[in-house]
Amino acid sequence: MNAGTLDIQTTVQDGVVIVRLLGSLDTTTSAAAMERVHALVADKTRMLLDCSALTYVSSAGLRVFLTTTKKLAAAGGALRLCGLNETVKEVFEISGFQALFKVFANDAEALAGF
Amino acid sequence: MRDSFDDERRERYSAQRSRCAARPQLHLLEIDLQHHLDEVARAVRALEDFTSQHALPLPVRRRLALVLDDALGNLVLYGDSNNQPIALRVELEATHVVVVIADATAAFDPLAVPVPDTTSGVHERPIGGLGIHLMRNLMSDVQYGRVGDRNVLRLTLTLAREPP
Repeated sequence: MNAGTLDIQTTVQDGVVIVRLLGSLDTTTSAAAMERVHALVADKTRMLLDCSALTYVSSAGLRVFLTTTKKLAAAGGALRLCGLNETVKEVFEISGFQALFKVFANDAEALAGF
Repeated sequence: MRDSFDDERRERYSAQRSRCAARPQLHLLEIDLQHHLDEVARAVRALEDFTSQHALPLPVRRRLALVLDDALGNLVLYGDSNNQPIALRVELEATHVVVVIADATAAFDPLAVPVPDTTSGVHERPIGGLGIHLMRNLMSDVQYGRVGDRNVLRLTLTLAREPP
């Protein structure tokens, strides 16, 4: 694992901004991640957060997801997530986040019809 | 106060050595941390190395890492340390892992914090306040005590299998 490190890779596919998170969203990495991801939000942005290389999310990391979906909603955009491992899924369930996000198994499923 | 704290630690370490001798399956990780954000990642990386060396399952390692990140993050971001280090101790036994965090910030009982709202929609959902909720739900047992001038948080995770 890789506490305190997070790489962010960004691509655009069929008009969807795909943000791939590699590492952990935690106390150390979340502030910079939030700034980086929020900067990608424009009018009506459709964004996919690909979490398939995300090891774990602490409460600081949950802020990134919640603030991003709030920002996208305000901009008339939309957010989808994919590739959550079992630990991240569990954190989402405990936090009630599974009801707030459209979560898909992988990027192909998430991009279909987006 | 400092002497009292040192005496307390010496007694604690002595007791741990005795327990190690009597129970060779006990593995310990102990680190003193400063009140800096960088120290949170250092502690979590040390925990990850420790749990990896002892071949704990990946979901267990991730769970412990994120709980420690939350617990230490709260301390470093919101607590006033009075320049005293945070003492982290991790005990690994055959059936469970115990993480003990002792700090000299103001008394704070995380178990007294109300359960947050986890049902409202995106617009109504407050940002933050989930760390203690995660800790209580991801660990098997959480205990808090005020010992002298220190908060002592004891987090226990029961293991599904015996580590090698």
